[in-house]
Amino acid sequence: MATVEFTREELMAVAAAAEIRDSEVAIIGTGLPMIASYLAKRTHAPSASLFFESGIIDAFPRDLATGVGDFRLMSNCVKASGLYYALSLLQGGRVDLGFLGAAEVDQYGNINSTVIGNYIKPQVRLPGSGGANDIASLAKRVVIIVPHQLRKFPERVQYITTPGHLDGVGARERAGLRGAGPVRVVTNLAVMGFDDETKRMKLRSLHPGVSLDQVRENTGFELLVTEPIEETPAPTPEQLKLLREEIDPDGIYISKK
Amino acid sequence: MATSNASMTGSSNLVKKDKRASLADAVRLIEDGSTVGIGGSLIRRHPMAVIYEMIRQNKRDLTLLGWNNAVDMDLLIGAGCVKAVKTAYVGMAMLGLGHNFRRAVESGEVKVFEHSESTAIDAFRAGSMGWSFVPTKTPLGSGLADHNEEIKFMDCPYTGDPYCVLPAFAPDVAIIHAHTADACGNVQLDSKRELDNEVDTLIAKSANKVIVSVEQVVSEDAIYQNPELTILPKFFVDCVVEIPLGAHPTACDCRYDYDLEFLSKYQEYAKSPETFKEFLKRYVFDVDDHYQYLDLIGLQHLFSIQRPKEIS
Repeated sequence: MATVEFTREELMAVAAAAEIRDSEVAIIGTGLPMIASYLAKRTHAPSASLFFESGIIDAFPRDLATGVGDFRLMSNCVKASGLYYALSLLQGGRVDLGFLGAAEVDQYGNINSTVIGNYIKPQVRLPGSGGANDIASLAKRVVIIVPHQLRKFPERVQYITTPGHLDGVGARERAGLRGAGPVRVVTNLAVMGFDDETKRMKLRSLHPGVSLDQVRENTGFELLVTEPIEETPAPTPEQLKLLREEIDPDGIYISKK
Repeated sequence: MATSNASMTGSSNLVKKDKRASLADAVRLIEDGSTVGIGGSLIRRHPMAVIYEMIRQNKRDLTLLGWNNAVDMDLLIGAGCVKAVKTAYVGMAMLGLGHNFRRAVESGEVKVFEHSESTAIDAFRAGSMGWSFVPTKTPLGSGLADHNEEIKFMDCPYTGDPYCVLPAFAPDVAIIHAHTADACGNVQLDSKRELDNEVDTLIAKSANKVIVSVEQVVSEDAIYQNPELTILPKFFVDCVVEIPLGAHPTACDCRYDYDLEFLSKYQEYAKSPETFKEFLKRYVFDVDDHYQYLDLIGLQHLFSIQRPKEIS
């Protein structure tokens, strides 16, 4: 076991990066997905096309952007278009992978970012879908990145802003949705996938130092588990060097300690 | 070329229709109870001066259409001008929730017709094409299809594949902020810009009347010299209002950035209906027009949000 020290965020960035295959088209937001995508492009996926929802493709900004519409992204990219163009790529089935955050995600990977509480009489009204529904409905695969907290992992979301596997196997196909839906959930505690038979969320690996009980305590539904439980692979020294010295040297999105 | 153009269009004493209007006159085109399509996205290039004037003129019962909205809709909602919104997002981006929006939806004062970005944009696209509806895959299986009663289901008549369909957005009035226009109403954007202007064009094309505010009115010659920058030829446009910094506090591409300091202040005021009334009094009702509003913000601060030249 390597003795290189790393943070949970660095581990999450590496786990998310592993989901991007070479030559794929990925729609990315800012934050951890952006860091993960640039890491993938600098390591195993040099031919991936990364595009921001704002329609900017393969940007290598001089400074890290703080939002998908950040003007800094336009200074150095292969195509500058608009969100309308980005959405047309999704609608046309050109997008292999999308990353999403979530206010709440349930056992089928359905996401709610519209209301807390009842839809008709909400306790808190949130801003709404934005482009999240578009990505979840139309990308071929979706990776969800979310902090692992009990309140964020209910058994069933009250409102489906962005469809995951709806109510189980075959549901997306019956609804007429293209694409496989969510394939991974990366949290600060673990990496999860979805069971082929039921489409329920299933543990894939625990981050080093995290116990199964810890994950269960922070999950509001029965998480499927198959023994033996694997450990999330630690970042390699090369990956850490890239993250710390080249991709996010100021620690804007991933803290180094 | 300028010379051949002169010979084709004839002698210079023919007078073309001048579509320039004062801010107040332009906003009088918007009637109570109408649907208004708002240009811009998130905290970028919303027609804010027009929106402040709508509040000054006490517009009521409006239905607002957009695709990604922030302080524009939150302000109109907080001022009591709005009965419904149709958009994918109303929030303050990195500054958190839209407090007025949140309160109004939680209390049932404002009705939301849920959209995703692509459904909202496609509804404008349908409107711009003169279609009455448009098919979409996006809302299938989601709360959009369950809770927006305007979204219905239809199987493809050719393949049987399931789709949702949504009615076109065809607003009574579109309000758009752009960089320049001539007096005839030919509207242009700078070549370096954030490229979501395509949606602004669709919003304008889908509307019955179009009000365009611009940073600067330019000569018709200036339009002829850079025709590739034209986003709307004059026949789409009903009036042109010249308002420098007319998108403040939202960003205007290479010209100025969003005013984070002002937007943060706005968020503080918006925390309660009482303090929001103070905002409206100070920045909307106690100023006669946009120039007095800009005076209140201050020249020094307005210069601080100008975009650095090397980007443009």
